[in-house]
Amino acid sequence: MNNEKKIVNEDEELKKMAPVLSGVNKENPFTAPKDYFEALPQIIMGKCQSNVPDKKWTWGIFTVYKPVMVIATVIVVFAIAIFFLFVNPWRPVQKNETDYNSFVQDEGMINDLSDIFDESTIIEAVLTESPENSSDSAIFEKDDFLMENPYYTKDDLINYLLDANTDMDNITQ
Amino acid sequence: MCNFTNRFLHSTLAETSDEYILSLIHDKNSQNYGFTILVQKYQEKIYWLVRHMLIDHDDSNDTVQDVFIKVWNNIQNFREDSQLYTWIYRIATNEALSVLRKKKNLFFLPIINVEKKLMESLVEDNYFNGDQIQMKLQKAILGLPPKQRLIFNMKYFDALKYDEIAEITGTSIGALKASYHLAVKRIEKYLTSH
Repeated sequence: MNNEKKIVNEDEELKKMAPVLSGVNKENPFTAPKDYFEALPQIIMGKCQSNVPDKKWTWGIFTVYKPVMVIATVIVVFAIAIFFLFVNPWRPVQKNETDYNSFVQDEGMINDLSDIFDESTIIEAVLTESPENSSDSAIFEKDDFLMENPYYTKDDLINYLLDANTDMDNITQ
Repeated sequence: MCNFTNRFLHSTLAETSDEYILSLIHDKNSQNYGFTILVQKYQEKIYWLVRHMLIDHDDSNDTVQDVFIKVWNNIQNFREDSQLYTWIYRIATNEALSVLRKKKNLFFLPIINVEKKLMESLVEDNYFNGDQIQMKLQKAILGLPPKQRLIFNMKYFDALKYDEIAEITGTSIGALKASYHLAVKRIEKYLTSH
C-alpha cells in the first residue's frame, strides 16, 4: 500500500517537473532477436563449463600504446641522464681537473725552460716578478744571463712565458 | 500455447526464491541446474539494463554473457549479506560502464564522441521499435554522462527504488535523488527544445 502511494507520488512529481517526459510511453522501445532469451542460458552454460576466462583482453589503442609510451619515456629519461653525466659539453670542469691540467702544463713549461736557461736564473726571474712590475723591463737589464746571452732579451722571456700561459705561482712552488 | 507456456515459465521463475537457487548452486550435484535457473530468472532484466546503456544488441549480448560468466566464477564466494539480484545488477552495471570506458579508450576519443557513436547505432538499430518521441527520449538519455544515464534508466525504466539503486551503485540516496532530478531536468529540456 505504501509502495503504491510512493509510486503515485513519484509519478505526480514527474508530471509537475517534466510534463513532456511524463507523457512519453514508458514501454521498452528496444527488441531482441527472435528466441534470443530461449537460447541464451545454454550459450552461457556452455561458456561457463568450457572455463572461458571472464576477463577479455581488448587490444585498444590505449592498451597497446600505454606500455609502449612508458618504455619510450624510460629510454628517453635514461638517454638524457647518460648525456648529462658523460657527454654533456657544457658540464662545468671540476676544480681538481683544472689544477691537474695546469700542473702538467706548467711542469712541461719548466722542463722546456730548463733546456734553455739554468734553474737558478728562472727561479730568480720568477721571484723578482711581481704584478706591479711585471711589465717593467728594468729587472732583466741587470740579469747576468741576459748580459751573457745577448740573443735573448727580457721581452723574449716575458713573451715566452706569456705565450705558454705560465702560472708564476706554480713555477715558484 | 507457446505464449502460455512462456508466461507460466516466467511466473514460475519469478516465484523461485534466490535462496532456493543458491542452495541448488551450492550443491555440486545440482550446480548446473541451479545456475541455469538463475540465468533464466535474471537474463532479461540484465539484458535490458545493459541494452539501455550500450544500445547495440551485439555489444549487449557479449556483455550479458560476460556478466553471467563472472557470476558463475564468483558465486561460491557470494556472501549472502546482500541480495542476489543487487549483486548481479552491480556486476552488470560495472561491466556496462567498463565496456563504455573501453570503447572510449579503443577509439582514443573523448566520451562525447562515444555517445555520438551510440546515437548513430541507435538510429541504425534494427531492433528499435519505438516511435519518434521514444527515439528522441533515447537520444536525450544518451546525452547524459554514463553513470547518470545508468541511474536514470534504473529509476525510470526498471522502476527500482532509491535504496536498491544505492546498493547497486554504491552511491548515497541523496546523491541519487539529485542525480535523477538533474537528469530529468536535462531530458525535459532536450525534449522541449528539439
